[in-house]
Amino acid sequence: MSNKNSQIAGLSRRNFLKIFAAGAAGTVGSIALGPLAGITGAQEPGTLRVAWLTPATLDPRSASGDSEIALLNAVYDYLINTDSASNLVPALASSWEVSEDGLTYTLQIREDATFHDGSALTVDDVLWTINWHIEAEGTVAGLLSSATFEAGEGNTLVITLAETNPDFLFNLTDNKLVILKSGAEAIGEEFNGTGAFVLEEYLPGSRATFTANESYWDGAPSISRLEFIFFDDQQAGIAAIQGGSADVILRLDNASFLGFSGDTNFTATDIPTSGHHLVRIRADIEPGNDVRVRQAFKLATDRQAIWERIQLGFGAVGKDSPIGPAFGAYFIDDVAVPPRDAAAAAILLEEAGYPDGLDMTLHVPNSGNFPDLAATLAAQWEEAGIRVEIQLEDENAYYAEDWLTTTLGVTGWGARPFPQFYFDVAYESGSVWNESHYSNDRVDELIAIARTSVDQEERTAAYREIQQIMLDEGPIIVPYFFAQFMVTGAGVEGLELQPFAGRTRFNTAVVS
Amino acid sequence: MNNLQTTSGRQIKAMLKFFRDLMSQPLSAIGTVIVLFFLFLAIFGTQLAPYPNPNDQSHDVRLEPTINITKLQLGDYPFGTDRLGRDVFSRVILGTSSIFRTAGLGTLIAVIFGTILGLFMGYSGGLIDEILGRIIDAMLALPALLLALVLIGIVQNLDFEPGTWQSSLGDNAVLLVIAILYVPIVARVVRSTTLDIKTREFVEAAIIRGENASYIMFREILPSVIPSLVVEASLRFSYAIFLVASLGFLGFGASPTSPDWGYMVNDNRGGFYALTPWALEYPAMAIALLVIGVNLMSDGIKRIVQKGD
Repeated sequence: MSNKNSQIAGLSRRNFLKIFAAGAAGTVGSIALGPLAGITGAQEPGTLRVAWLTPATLDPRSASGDSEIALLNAVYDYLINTDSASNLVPALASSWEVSEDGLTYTLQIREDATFHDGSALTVDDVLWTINWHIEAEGTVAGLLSSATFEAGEGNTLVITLAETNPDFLFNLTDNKLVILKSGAEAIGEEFNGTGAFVLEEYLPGSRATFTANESYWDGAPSISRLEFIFFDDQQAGIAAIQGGSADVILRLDNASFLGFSGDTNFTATDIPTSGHHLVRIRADIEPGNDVRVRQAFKLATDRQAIWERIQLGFGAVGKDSPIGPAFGAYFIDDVAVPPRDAAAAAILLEEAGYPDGLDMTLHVPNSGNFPDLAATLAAQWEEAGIRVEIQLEDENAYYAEDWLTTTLGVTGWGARPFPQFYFDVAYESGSVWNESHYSNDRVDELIAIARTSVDQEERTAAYREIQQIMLDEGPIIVPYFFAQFMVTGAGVEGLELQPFAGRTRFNTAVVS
Repeated sequence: MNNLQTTSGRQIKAMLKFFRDLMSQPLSAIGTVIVLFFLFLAIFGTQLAPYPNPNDQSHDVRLEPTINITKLQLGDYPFGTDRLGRDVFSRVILGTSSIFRTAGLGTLIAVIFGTILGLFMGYSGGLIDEILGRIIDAMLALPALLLALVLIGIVQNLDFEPGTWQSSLGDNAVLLVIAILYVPIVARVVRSTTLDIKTREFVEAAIIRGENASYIMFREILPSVIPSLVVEASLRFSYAIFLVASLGFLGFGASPTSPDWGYMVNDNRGGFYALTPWALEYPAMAIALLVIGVNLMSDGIKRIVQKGD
């Protein structure tokens, strides 16, 4: 029942609807494009725009994601950095000495660093920051509480350990240990650091803009402005790079990175890391408590094929331990992994008392590459008589409790600059994150040796023996170590990608 | 006596006529052919698929497109292979049976229980009808997908002893959810038809004769309800297929190894779409084709039924 003469505000109904629709579309369009408003499509000279996922917290006590660490890394500095080969690089600690007995470290705090408010950096700021973390009782406290810290002569930091720890300095490179000014307030909301960039504006969920710190101790950055553009998901960031509204993106999925690799408009960089995925079986209960069963799983797996399918050739193939090529001389590069033999695996299972094979549930966090890894493992194992049902679980739920209790599961481990960490927390008997409940006396011995030995040869021999034992009969299969990725647009140079993407430093960037 | 005059003979004759009527209109003929084709795949899928194991990654050919551009010939894999080296053609075929089973059985269960409920409501009338009617209205007020997600969440979070009948309910959560979800709407359709038929003379005659309620509902009223029920059931089936695909897309009722069409569409989005677009497109086309086919067929059924009235 239409009234042909119906009028709304002087317009005929048809015209009103047209204008209303246009107005609505315009409003929705401008709201949708809102976050991009103010960001020009073209590159401004001297400005670098980096795409990140939205940070959740900027408090150094709890910051952990790449974008969160990236922001802290831009406005603050660390005592020591690591490079992509896991070497220690001086930062606010310009040099250091270790006493003969390995128990005392003396770090020289540099004299030429100043906070953005003009005050000079002193060892008191370092001590204040360390105490602040220890009082917060977070992960940094766990790394540092076994040592004592004092100010020494001439702006030095003196650290005393109770027992030798050849990896101790790596603890000072922890992502959270940015050096704050003593007595700082509103930490995580106000940012007064010694870093290469000064925070100009932070719009949560949208972007953060920085200006160059002209009096930076390592030299003023080549770029005058730095912008972090925040996206809700990775694909949106990738679209921004492709469209030219961002210049740099770190942390892509392998498939998208592969797409950029062939494109001459972009520079695609990848570096191997020590981060890895593994599948583990509990070694304390059936069936994994029988070494023949563990060996059957290993024999039924073709790690090279998994690496090619899942990682698309990026990163490196693993040898069933957390040590990979990223750890250089420690890695058993020369040891051959037994080739896949499904028939032999089936025989081992029969000897272990499973003539009909095994039926198990494989628990898998539902994110990233894990479902693909599970599907490929399932396909390879089926031939040996190991039939797994894949149970996908929400990632947060899996890491809340399941990963430490399930019989068979897939877990991801992030990159670390030194291997001892993995052994201390996951492979020593009774350790806190020992998801496979592994307990091997000889491995425990070797872990203890490697933890405190300052003799590099002794350490290397210990690590090599651990790897051999774990390859022969350990509870985990490590098919690959994953790579870290970075894609930059035309005209961007000078960036050194770090295994933890958020530690990539932008003061060396050159935009032409 | 001529075979065609027996009761079963008459029923077969009626079904053949029904089928002929369906095929007489071009659109409903197309729809019926599509549905029968997929039904054939659902039943004989494992024999037809070149690689009957949906997680078969043994051939070392990955990322293979349907048409190999460099060789300018049809590749060995009609629908190409996905990034893990699985044959997409086989997986689409194998996925037919699970979607038919889940959507089909779910719809069937919904139709059975919905019919019983609808007959009961329509025949009883009064307070029972009012109360049940309001409950149904409440359930129908919510969007189907939303309600499905809530129900799935509940079913999946119940902890069952493995191996019991309760745990197999959990395994078939999607089927159960489809069944629960569509009972209200089927009941409502059956109820309104029942209300109409209740007033007919043969029903009143049965009441006077003293037949009990279940006789009247199932032997007198139900046969007249069936035509509109069949229309509703086929429509429900098309919605059920799409709902199963949507839930599979969201990750429910499917695992990385199962050839669930909806899961395959989700699995091959994002970065993987650039690598293997065919791995997303063929399952998506299968979903669309089957839904369209069932819809066309149900339009045809509706036309036949309405002509018959």
